[in-house]
Amino acid sequence: MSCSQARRQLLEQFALGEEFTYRSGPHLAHLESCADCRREMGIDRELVENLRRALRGRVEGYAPSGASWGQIRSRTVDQPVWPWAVRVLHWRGMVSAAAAAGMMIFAVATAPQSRLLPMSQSPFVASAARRVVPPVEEARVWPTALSSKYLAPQTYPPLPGWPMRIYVSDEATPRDGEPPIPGRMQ
Amino acid sequence: MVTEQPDGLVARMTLGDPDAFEEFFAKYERPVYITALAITRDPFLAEEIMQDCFVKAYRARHRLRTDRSPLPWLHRVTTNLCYSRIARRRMILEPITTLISNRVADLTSGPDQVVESLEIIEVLQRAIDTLPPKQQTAVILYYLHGYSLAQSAEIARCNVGTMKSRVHYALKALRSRLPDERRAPAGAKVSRREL
Repeated sequence: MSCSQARRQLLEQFALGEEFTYRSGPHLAHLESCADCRREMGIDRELVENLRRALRGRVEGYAPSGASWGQIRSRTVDQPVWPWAVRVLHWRGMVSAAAAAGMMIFAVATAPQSRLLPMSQSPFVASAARRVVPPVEEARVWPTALSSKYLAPQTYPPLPGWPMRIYVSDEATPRDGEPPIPGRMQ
Repeated sequence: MVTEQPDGLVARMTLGDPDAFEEFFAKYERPVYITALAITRDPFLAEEIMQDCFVKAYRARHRLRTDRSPLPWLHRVTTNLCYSRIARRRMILEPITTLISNRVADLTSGPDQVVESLEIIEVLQRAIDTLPPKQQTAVILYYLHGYSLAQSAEIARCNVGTMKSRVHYALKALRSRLPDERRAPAGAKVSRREL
């Protein structure tokens, strides 16, 4: 039997409190004949003893104060019980407030030219803008004859209360001497 | 015993018996406090955690099982509260290597005296603090409370094999953190009789 096998087995049995069985016989016999293993087991035994002492030392001499129960009682048993109607109203009020807050956040986040989220854009506005002014990548693959005569399609009317921010232009080409307009048809 | 019957305290609490919660507190106050104190090493924080634990128990009394002891549940809540509080406070534990070099400078005394000294106990206590939370809980449940592996596993909600592994690795880690001079009690003999 190797030393490592014996040590592992005996450490488990000793340190973990397992009972010695008939299977421990060879390990114990090895222990009696091997000085190194005896030394190792001695170290482990002392470690466990010191560990128990260290853990006991953490808690010895301490006890919860007598005021604990009073404080727990004030937070539990003595806490006033609200009538069910008040609780329902409170619950419904919380739900209404959460719904209103959610709607407001959605409206602010998706509003065109939002100051809170300047880079954001409503999906409705984005799709409308895409229909009016196609991206340059799409326009490049169009035939020249078509692109020169490109006319923006009629867009859907904006949502009620939303400003019209879509510009439709029939000038597909820049004027002479002017740089090309990015995002427009050339 | 963790699994002993709880004398119907939880059932009485559920039914609204005003004295039941006080009895419940008196019965389980000590083990909960010991667990919290062993993990935090701060009596005030341990008391705070114990109070929070019992408040949680009171609020969850309708969900607690009446056919078994609430102690595993209480230990679980306590350990969770301890580690969340420790994380919130961002307790910075001193590296064990520094501690060892500072505290165990004199290694010339005899091995028996060394093992018996308070210094090594203190070093071990610091080493326990540096263990991972699961191993620390395993060591506290197994070696401090004296629960069996099965009971410790029930509290920690893991398999017995997992608990065994945690204790084993905790011992290994603790041993590795001791200085070499402290690891070698020359002449320490373990006979079959001692074991």
